[in-house]
Amino acid sequence: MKKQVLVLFLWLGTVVSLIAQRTISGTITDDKKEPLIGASVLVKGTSTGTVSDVSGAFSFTIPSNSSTLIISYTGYASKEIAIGASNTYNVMLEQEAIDLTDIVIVGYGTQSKKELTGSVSKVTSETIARLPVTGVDQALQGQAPGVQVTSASGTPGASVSIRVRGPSSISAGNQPLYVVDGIPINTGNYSQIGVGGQQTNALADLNPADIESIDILKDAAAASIYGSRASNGVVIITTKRGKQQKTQITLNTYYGTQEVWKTIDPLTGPEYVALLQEGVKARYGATVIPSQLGLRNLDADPSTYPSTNWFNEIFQSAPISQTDLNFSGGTDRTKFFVSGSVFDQGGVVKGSSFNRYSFRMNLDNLVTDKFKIGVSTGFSRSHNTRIQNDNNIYGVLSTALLLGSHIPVLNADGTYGRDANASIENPVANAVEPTYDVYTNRLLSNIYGELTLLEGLTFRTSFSVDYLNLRDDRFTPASHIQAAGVNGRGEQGITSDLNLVNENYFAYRKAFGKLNLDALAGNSVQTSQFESLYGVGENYPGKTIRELNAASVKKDVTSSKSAWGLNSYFSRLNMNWAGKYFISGSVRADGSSRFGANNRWGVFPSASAAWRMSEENFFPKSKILSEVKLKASWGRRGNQDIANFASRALIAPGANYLQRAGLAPTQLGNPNLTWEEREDIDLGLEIGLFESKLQLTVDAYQGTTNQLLLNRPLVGASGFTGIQENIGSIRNKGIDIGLSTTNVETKNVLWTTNFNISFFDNEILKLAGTPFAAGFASWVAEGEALGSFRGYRTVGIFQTQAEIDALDKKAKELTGRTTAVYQSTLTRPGDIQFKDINNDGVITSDDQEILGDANPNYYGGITNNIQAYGFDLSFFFQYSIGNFVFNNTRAFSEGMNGVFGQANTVKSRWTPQNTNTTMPRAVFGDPNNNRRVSDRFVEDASYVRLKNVTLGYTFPAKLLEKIKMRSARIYVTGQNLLTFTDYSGFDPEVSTFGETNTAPGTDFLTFPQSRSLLFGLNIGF
Amino acid sequence: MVIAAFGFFQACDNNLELEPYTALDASVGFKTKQDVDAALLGAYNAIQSSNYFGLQLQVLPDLYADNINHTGTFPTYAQIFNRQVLADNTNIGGLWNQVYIGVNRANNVIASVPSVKDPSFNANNAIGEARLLRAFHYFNLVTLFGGSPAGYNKAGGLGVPIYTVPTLSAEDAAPKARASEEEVWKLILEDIDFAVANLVTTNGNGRANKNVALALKARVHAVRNEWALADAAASEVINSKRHTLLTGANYQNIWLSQNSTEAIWELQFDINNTNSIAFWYYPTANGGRNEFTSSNSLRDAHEAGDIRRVVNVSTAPANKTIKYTRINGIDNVLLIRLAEMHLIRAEAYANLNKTSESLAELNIIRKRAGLSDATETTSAGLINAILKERRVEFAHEGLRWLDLRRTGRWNAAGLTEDFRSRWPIPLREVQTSAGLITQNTGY
Repeated sequence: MKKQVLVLFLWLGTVVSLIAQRTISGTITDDKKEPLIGASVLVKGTSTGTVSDVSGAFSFTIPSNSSTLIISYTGYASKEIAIGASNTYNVMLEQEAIDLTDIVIVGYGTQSKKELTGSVSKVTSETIARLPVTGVDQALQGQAPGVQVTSASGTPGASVSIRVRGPSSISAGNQPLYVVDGIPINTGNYSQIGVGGQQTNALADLNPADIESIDILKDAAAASIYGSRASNGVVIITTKRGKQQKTQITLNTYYGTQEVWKTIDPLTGPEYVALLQEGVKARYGATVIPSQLGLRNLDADPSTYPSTNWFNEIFQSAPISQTDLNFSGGTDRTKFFVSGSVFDQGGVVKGSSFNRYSFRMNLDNLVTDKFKIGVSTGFSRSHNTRIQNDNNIYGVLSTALLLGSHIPVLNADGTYGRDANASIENPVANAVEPTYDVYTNRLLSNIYGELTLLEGLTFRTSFSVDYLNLRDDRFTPASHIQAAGVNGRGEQGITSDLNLVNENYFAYRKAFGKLNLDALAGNSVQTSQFESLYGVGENYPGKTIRELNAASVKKDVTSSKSAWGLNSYFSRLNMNWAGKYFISGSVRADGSSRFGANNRWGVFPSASAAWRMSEENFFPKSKILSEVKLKASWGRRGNQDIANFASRALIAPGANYLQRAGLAPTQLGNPNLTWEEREDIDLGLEIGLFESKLQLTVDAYQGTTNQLLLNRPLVGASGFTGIQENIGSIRNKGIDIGLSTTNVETKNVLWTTNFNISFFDNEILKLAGTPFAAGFASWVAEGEALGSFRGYRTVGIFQTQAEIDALDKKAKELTGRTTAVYQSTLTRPGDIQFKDINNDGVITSDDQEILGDANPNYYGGITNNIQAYGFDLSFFFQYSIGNFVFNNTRAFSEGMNGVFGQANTVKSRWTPQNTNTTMPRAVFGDPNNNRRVSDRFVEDASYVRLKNVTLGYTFPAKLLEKIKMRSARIYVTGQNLLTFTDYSGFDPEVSTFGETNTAPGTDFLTFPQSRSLLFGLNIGF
Repeated sequence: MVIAAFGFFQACDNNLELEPYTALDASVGFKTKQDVDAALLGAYNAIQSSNYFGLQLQVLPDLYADNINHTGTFPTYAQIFNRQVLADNTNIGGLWNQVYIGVNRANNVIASVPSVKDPSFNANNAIGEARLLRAFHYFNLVTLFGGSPAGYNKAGGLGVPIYTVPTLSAEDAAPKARASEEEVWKLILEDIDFAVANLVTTNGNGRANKNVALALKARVHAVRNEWALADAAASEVINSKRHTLLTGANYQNIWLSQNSTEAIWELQFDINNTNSIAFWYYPTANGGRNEFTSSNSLRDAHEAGDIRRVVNVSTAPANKTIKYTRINGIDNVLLIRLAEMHLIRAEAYANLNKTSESLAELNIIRKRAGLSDATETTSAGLINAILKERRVEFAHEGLRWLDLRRTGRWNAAGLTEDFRSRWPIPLREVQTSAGLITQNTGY
C-alpha cells in the first residue's frame, strides 16, 4: 500500500507556470446583503484562489490571462463571473434550492431524494440532538417508517433491538449493519459475563451528538450493495464535518433527573405471611403450620411481621447529563470538525450507571484540485456499572419482587435481612455489595484519498479500523450470598476485536445531454480478529483488594481467539433521462470465511426503476399536486451473521478429567453451509402537494428470506442435538407510510409535522423440523409469526368439587385409564380450569396453542415542531399497537405457590367467600400448576407514549452580537412523560431476553424505562 | 495505482481460508495414542455434566421418589417433585441428551482404538473402559425411560434407541426406533462382559477397572432379578478384598475425605472441573441455591442411633446432606461403593432363600451404621428390610427410585398412575424423530 500512496503523490504533482499578473478584489454577500465569510474565489481552470474574510471581502493576484472566476460557498449556488477590465467584483450568492436534507447517503455515495429508486429514510442531527439517549439506536425510535426500535429495558448502556421491515432471520442476526463514515462496525455484546438478559451494547460507544445524519437503507435496491450483510437493512451513520467558514464553537449541555414512571404495589409483610399460611393450609390441611413443612419463621401471627416495600429501597431518582463542545470550520482547502463530549447516566435501579467520554476529529484537505484526503477518527471510553438483572435470583429488581415483604432490609444486628426459606439475596445487598464494571475503549478511524481522474470520474480508496477493547471487572464479596461459599469471588476478562477494512472504488457521474449517468465499481476486503482472556479468583482477604492477585484460588482461566474475513466486489449503475425516468442496478459478490468450502461466494443483485410522472408534459401543472413519483425495486441480499466456524465439524478441548486434558466432538460439519438469502420487492409512491408542503411516501414490500441458517434438530440419541443447515424460510410483508407537512409557514412561525406508520406481517414459512420453544412462552412454528406465544387457555375457576369430579370421570372414560384425572389429583375449587383443546379428556402438553405474538400490527411516531418568535416546541409521540407481552413476572408475583414476594393484586384471590374473581386460590406448591404458561399472562401491550416534549427559546442574534455570541438557546425536555397502555407490568416496551430473535416481548423482572426531565443549553461563538 | 490496489486484494484470498483457533477440525480425528487417551478422558467427562452425575442423576430420582423435597424456584424441578412430569420437562430432556453424548463419546473411542498402532497402547483396556462407560449409560437410560411398570426383564419391556457407532455426520445422526428392553440389556451385558475380561485391576481413582465392571454387572443382574448372577458378581468384588467398609465415625469420611477404601468407582472433581451439587442443595446463607432439601420421610426412615441420619439429613446446615458439602464444587460423586455389593448379595441370598446368609450380609451394613442386628427370618421380610436399609444407605445417590422401580413399589413415592413409573421420552426426541421414537404411553 505504501508504494501506491507514493505513486499517487507523484502522479498528482502539478506544474505552475509564472506569467503576467494583476490584483482583483471585491466582497461576497448573501441575498440579504450579509457578508459570507470564507467563501471560495477561484480562477477557473487553475488552482489560484482565495477565501473571503470576516467582512466577506477578498483580494488576490491573478494571472493576467484569467477569464473567469468561480465563487462558491457551501449551501449556496456557485457563480461564474467573467473577468473584464474592472478590478472590483462584488458578488451576491443565492441559497441553493436543494436543501441538504434532500441528499441521502447510500452505500458508497450519495443521491438526491428525487433520484432515489430505492427506499431510504433519513434522520437528521436536529432530531437526534433533541433526544437524551445513550446510543444512536435509541434515537431512531419512531422516526422512520419501517424501522421498529425496541429498548429491551431501561438498563443504562444496554441493548436495543432494531428491526428494519420485520425480523428476517430466526437464528442468525436480526440487527441491521451499521456503517459509520464508511466503516462497517462491530456491534453487539462483548462482555464475557452474563448477568441476565440485558447485555452490553457496542453501539453505545458512539456519541450521538457527533452525528450529522443517519440514513437507513431499507429495501433491497438500496441495501444490497452491502451484499451478505444487508438482509436486515443498513444504517449509515455520517458524523459531522467542517464547513468552509470561520471557526464556530458550539457548546451543548443538558442536565436532568430520571425516575421510574410506574411501580408495582406489593403485599405488606403481614398480608404476605397471612397468604402463605393460607396456602399451606389449603394444601396440607387446616391444622398444618409452615414449620411442619420445614418452612422457618412463618408460624407467628401475621400482624407481628415487619413490612418492607423493596421497590422503595432499590429505585432511585438518578441524574443524567451530557456536555459536548465542538469546533468546526475551515477554508476552501481544509475543513475540520473537532469535538469532545461527556455523557453521564445514573440508573433508576440502584447500582447501575453508564458514562462515556468521547473525542472526534474529522478532517478534509484538498491536496490539489484533483486530490482530496481526509480522516474521520473517533475515540471513546465508556464505563458501564452493571448489576445482575432479570431472570436471576441475585438481580436487584428481580429480588425486590421475589423477596417477601416480611423481611427487613437490615436485621437488628446490622446484617442483611434474608428469607431462610428462599434462595434469594436481599435486594439492597444485590445493589450494594457486588461491583461489576465494564470499561470499553473504542477507536473508529478511517482515512481516505479521493482522486479525480477525469471530469466526473473519481477513484477513492480508504482504510478503516474499528478497534474495541473491553474489560470486565467483577467482584462479589463474601458478604453477598453468591460468594459466601467461596469467601469472595472475582472475575476479570479482556476482550478485543480488531476490524480492518480496505475499500477502493471508481465513481463516475456525468450528464450526456438529458441522460444522467452515475456509475460505481469497486471492491473491499474486511477482516476481523477477536481475542479474549478470562479468569476467576476465589477466596479473598476481605473486600478491599478486588484484583485476582488477591485470590488464593485462581480458576477457570480461558482464552479464545476467532476471526472472519470477507472479500467483496461491487458495482452500481444509476441512469436517468431528463430527471423523469430512472433505472438503477447493483450487484455485489461476497466471499466469506464463515461458510462451507463448497459455498463460499454469493452474488447479490438488485434492480429498480422510478418514474417522476409530474415531470411529464402531459402532467397538469398545478400548485396542488406538485410531485408524483412511482418506483419499483427488486433485489437479493444476504445474512452471514452466524458463528465463525459453524460450517466445520469440530472436536473441542475442555472435556477434561482427572486434571488431564480431554477432547470431545462438539459439532457436526456442513460444507454446504451458506448465506441466508432475502429477496424483496418494493413498490413505492411519493407525492408532493401544495409545493411540497405536504409530502407523502408510501412503500409496500414483501421480503422472503430463504435458506435460513437453522439448527436442524437431530435426535439427542445421536449425541448431537442439531446441525447448522440452510433450510427455513420466513416472510415479511408490509406497508410503510411517511407523511410530512408544513402546516404553517410565515415570517415568524413555522409548524411542521412528521408522521409515520408501518404495518407489517411476519410469517415463518418453513422450519428445519418440528416447532420449538424459546424463552419462557415463545414458540417458533411454521405458519406463525416469529415472536408468537404458546400456552394453555384458561376456562375459568373451579367453584365446586363436583365440577372437578365430573371432568375426572370423563377423563377416565375417554382415556380408558382408571387413574386418569382431568388436570391433577390435587385440583380443588379455586384452581384454574384449563381448556382441553384436543378433547382427549385430560390436560397434557398437547393442549397448548398460540396465544398471540409480540409483533405490533402497526407502529410508528408523530412529531410536531413549532417555532414561533424565538420559541420552539416539539412533541413526539411513539406508538406500537397490537403487540403482546408474556408477563412472566406475574407468574411469580401472582403465583401464590411458595416463598416469593407477591403483588397486592393477589388480594382478589379466590376464597370460598370471594368466588367471583379470575385470580385462583392460594395453595402452597401450586399442585394444579395454576401459574403455568397460559393466556392469563399474555397481555395486550399496545402503547402510545409521549416520548419527548421539548420547549426551547433561542435568543435573538442581534442581542447576542453585543456579547460576541453567535447563538444561544435554552430548553427543557421531558422524556417518557406519558404512556397510555393497559399493560400491567412496569413497561410495555420490554424484552427480558434483550436483543432476541425468537423470544421478544417477554417481561420477567426487567429494568423499566425511566421518565426524565432535563434542562439544557446550546451556545455558539 | 488502481492495478496495484486490485493486486493487493488478490493477495487477500487467504482471508477466506481461516482455521479455528479453539477447536480441532474433526477431519483430524482421533488417530494417535494421545488423541484416544484424550477422547477417553472426554468420555468420562460426559458423566460429570450437571445433566448427568454432576447433579441431575442423583437428585432427580430421589426427588421423584421420596428422599428429597423441592424448596427452590425452578418449575421443572417442581414438576418432578409433584410427580406431574410433562414430556417437555427440560431437566429430563437435558439428562437424556447428556447420557447419549456420553454414548457417542464412548463410541468414538471404541471406533478409534484400532487405528492406534503404538505398541505401548493397551488397546483392549481402552476399549474395555469405553464399553464399560457405554454399558453404564444404557443402564441409566433403560432403567429411567424403559422397562415396564412391574420392573425390568419382564415380558414386553420397553427399551431405548441403540447407537453403537460414532456419529460423524448428519446421516449418522438419523433417528432410530427404540430397541426392545431385552436388546438394550443384551448390549449392556456384552459390554460389561468385555470390560470384565479386559480391564486392568487397578486404573487409578475415578477410572473403570475390573471391579467397577463386576460391580456394575452385579447391579445389572439385581435389577434384572437374576440373583445368582448378581451374587456371583458382587461376591467377586467383595472377595477381591480391594475395598473395605468405613465404620463408626469414619463413615462420614467416605464423602468428607474422598477416595476412601469403600469406593469402587468414584467420579473425580477438582477445582477446575467442578460440579454444583452442594450449591443446589445448600441454603442461601451458605452461598447455595436451596433448591433441594432432605424430606421428613427420609429423616423418619432412620432408626434411632443410625449414624447415617446426620449424613443424609444434616443438622448444619439443616436438612441437607453431608454427601455434598463443598460449595466450591469439588465434591466427588460415589457412583458405586462396597456397601451396595453387600446389600445386593443380601438381597440375592434372600431371593435365593438363603435367609441366614442374607441376614448376615444385611447385618454387616446395619452394624456399621451403629444399629442392632436385624432378626428377619423370611425372604419377604428380609427383602423389605434390605430395601429399607438401601434407602438410608444410598440416599442422595440416585438409587432410591431405581429400587422402587425394579421392585414395582413405585406407588410408595405417592404415584398412582401406572404410566408415571417410566419417565417420558423427551418430547423433542419424539417430535424430531417424526414419531419413529415412540413415547411412553400416558404422556
